[in-house]
Amino acid sequence: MTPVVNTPAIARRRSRGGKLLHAMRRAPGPTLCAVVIFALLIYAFVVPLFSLNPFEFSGMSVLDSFIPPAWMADGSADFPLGTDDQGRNLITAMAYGMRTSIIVGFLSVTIGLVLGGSLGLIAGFVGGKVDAFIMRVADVQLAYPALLLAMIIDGAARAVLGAERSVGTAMAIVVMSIGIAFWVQYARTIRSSVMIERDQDYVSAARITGRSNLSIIVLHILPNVMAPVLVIATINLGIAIITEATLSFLGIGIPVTSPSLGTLIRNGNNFLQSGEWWISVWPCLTLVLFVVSVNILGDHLRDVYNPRLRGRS
Amino acid sequence: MITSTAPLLDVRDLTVTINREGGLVTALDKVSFFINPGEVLGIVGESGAGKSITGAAIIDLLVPPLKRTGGTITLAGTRIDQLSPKAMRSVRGGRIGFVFQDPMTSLNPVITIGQQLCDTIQAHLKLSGSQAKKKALDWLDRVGLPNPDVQFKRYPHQLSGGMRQRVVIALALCADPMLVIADEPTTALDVSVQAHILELLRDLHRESNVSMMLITHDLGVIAKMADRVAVLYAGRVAEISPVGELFNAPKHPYTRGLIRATPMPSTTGEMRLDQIPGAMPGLGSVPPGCAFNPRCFKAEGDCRATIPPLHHEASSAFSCFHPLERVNA
Repeated sequence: MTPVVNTPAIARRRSRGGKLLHAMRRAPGPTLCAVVIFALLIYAFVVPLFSLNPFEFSGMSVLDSFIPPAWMADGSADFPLGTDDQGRNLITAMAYGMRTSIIVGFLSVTIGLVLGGSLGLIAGFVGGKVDAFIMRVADVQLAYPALLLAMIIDGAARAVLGAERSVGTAMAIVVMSIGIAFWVQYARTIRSSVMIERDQDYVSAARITGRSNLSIIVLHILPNVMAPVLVIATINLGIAIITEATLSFLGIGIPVTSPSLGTLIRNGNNFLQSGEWWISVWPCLTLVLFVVSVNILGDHLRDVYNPRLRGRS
Repeated sequence: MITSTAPLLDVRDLTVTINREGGLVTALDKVSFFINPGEVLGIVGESGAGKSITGAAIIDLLVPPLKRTGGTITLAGTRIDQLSPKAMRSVRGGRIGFVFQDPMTSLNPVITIGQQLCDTIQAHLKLSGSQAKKKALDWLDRVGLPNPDVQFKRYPHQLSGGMRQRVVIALALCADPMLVIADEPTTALDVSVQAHILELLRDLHRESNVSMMLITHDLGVIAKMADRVAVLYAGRVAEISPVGELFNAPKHPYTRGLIRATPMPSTTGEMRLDQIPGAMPGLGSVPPGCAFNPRCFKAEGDCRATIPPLHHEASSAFSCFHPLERVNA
């Protein structure tokens, strides 16, 4: 007979911190990605606090232009990653650029989430003709590539607002167009979850107790359908940032006079042929690093929240 | 038929149709019954007889393609079948409690049971947050959950099926309703838990004297719980009788068939089990005349020609041209 060690259930139960550590040990890849994302976020939001904006006159000096990274022959220790054509330190320029890209990404994902989420809730809950209309609009929109759609919306906004516009307006237009371009996915996911939830007995119970449709949707259905959508939102954050970079690269997003990863890549692209590769390669690498990390983390979240995949990995 | 007190719930000629491709199918055909204050009315029938549809129709929870197309529903003297959805919400809210069949789906999985109770209480009774919480804890205790303080903060998935059904019962009763509709409250539970839940329902009914409509296919549950019983067959009322009369002297041949098809040990200890030949007609294929006539041993020409009307006697009612005699039982 082996003695059975009988630890009390409460002692065996892991504390919150212990659970997190356990989850991190089980998934080292996603944990590394989370660390990378966190580091990049700190980089993008802390560096600008301590350095002059390299996109304003006070922040750049033309005398320092085209200095290669520090380890190359003409490199300078003051500019570890080199400078661009206007003498901007790439380290600070990229921090400013990242900050814009991340803000645009978050805002546009939020807009897509709110827009698509509300339409999906309405379509799924009301059903019938309303559902058919919203979903047909979604089908039509899916026929256009999201980037093309963002360009169309962007162009339309420009036509309405005219060529004279501030950086803030340009950013708002980009945010709106990316947000609108990506609502369909949220709407479809939420709609299908809502259609399952709305026939559950607890919704009927809420209806019997006299709740209005709005409070049933907000209090009872929404919390039950959010998990899969938040996972999609995480993955879409990467896509939104890439879309912003693409729009900016094509010159129809953020104006080249203000920093974003896209405008930095675009600017550096002009000098790739002449040998100053670092101006565009560093922003490219940063973009790839951030987006890949976000995607891996998002994928991991999807696996965690999908009960059908649980326990397989 | 004449009752001394006014019924709490009076349902007359309730008709529900299903809008199918190719025409309307009748799911409930002129169902009439009433429930007196403090009374438990059992509703029995086979699957598909229209028991649950009756319950859903009363609380206006019919989902398309089901639609109520006729009849009146009166609750405590107020017609509730003609109200706008908004007015219906305020009338029905709090006055009718509903116990669902499956406790796995009738609680919101992301809200603690305490919060769900408080929400329901506060939706109908003018109580402050702390008063509502006190009442909710009180109800958790009354339905027999140990450590109400602990259970209050738990989520539905942390409770067993029986415990959840206790919570569902608390939810149905916590706003002090006049009428509780229990739709197969024990069907999804283990047999051992079923007995506890029935006992709880009976105790709570005795304490609060609320009227109950108990929908079930289990005659054993009916025998334990109900004062009167309505037997439904193919969307029509076959018989309504006080429970003792129903079991001892059923009038409708179907009722007797149903009772004999329930395994019950006789006094000598042997089990008798007679099944009714054939099967209940599906929706849309109800034969002309009495719906039961193809399976009935007493069926005659008139049974196949016309639908027998509900015939009222002293305390019971039945729809049959050739009712069973008392000695026949």
